[in-house]
Amino acid sequence: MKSVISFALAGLVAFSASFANAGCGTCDKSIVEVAAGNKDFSTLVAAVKAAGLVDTLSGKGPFTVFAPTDAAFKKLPKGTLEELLKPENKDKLVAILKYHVVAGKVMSKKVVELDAAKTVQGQKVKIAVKDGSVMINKAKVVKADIPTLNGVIHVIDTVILPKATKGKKKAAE
Amino acid sequence: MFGKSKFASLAAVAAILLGAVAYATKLLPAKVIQITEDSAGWSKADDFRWVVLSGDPASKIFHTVDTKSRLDEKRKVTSLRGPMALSISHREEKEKTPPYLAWYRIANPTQDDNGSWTLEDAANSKPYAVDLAAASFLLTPAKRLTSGTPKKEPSDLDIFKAYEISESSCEPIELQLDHPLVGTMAGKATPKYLCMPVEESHHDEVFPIKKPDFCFVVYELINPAEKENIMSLTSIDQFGIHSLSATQSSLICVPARVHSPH
Repeated sequence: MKSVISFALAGLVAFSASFANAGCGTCDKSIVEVAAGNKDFSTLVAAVKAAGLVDTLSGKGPFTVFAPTDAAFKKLPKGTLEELLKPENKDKLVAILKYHVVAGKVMSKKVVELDAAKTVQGQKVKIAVKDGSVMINKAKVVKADIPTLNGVIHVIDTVILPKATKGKKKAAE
Repeated sequence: MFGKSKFASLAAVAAILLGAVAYATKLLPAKVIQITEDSAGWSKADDFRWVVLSGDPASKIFHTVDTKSRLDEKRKVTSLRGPMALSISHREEKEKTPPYLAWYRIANPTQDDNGSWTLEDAANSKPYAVDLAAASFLLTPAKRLTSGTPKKEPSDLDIFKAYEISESSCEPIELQLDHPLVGTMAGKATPKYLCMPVEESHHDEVFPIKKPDFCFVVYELINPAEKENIMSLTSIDQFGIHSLSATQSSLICVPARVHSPH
């Protein structure tokens, strides 16, 4: 457990350092370009490519993306990510990624005034401010307001998952 | 112009500022205290009674905005780094989430000579002259995050630039501020910064000046008391969410009026 925490902290520190100078250097790049330009989002970028969402998230938008770091993906149960990246699970991967996207550019000042937001996937995420932290479901926002050409990125420390639908219906159309 | 009696009831001024911020190779003007005003028509008392905390942020951001104060002939590209400090409203004791001002260091200070001005402030019995140097900080409205939805900032709270006072005819004066969060700040102080409202453009948003005549002077205590870290807090402003460790204070802010250059 300690090693997991250490790893997460190390990732967070590295992430913070890498974005310390982000400022408006990201304003002329799309969400995908900004993510691709940061090594802490390599898993997210790979997932976006596998899901075929590059064009969508490079489009006009605007979008608000709650972007999990690589460390966040590592917190998923073993084998989960590998399964999601398989072609036969593309629909499920698309649903999960869309669950991290909200239509419109919602800066953190507005986010903290909300208690929920409808995602592009269709379901809502819960938003709460607790003990000085902004929570998206059970994920903590570790960096907010990274501006991009087509929206804004808020970085989260945990992958958030939509509720599974009943029956044979797939989890996220 | 400002008889002592007028200011006898002036609620203390002051605030606390925190600690020296080890920033790059130099320390930040460690402590700021802010404010106050009362009688004398400076503004409503509760509108500007602040304590300023300064501290070491968990991470600093770089950001660039366009700003224009009455000292600027045209809009200036202003590169910011911070936040380095926070001013906290005296309303801390009354409200769960009082308004704050987040202090960002201006990384590209320009126009070293901003002329000579006459100031009147709520803590001084007579007007005095100052020479203004470059603006060192941009102060932007902020909120503290605790639990639950934070209250909105006051609608008339401006964004300010803090200009360094390079010369002043003001003799050291006694200042005091009692704040529920930081206790009593008191001692002789001299003017350090003059804060003036600015218009700011940030991405596609423009923040106009709301109270053009409202300025404040930041006094620095000559012999501030040493204090331990006060608290850790998280703030949110136009540049995002920030964590700060608050430390000592040596700066006190006082409402002021600015008169034409000499």
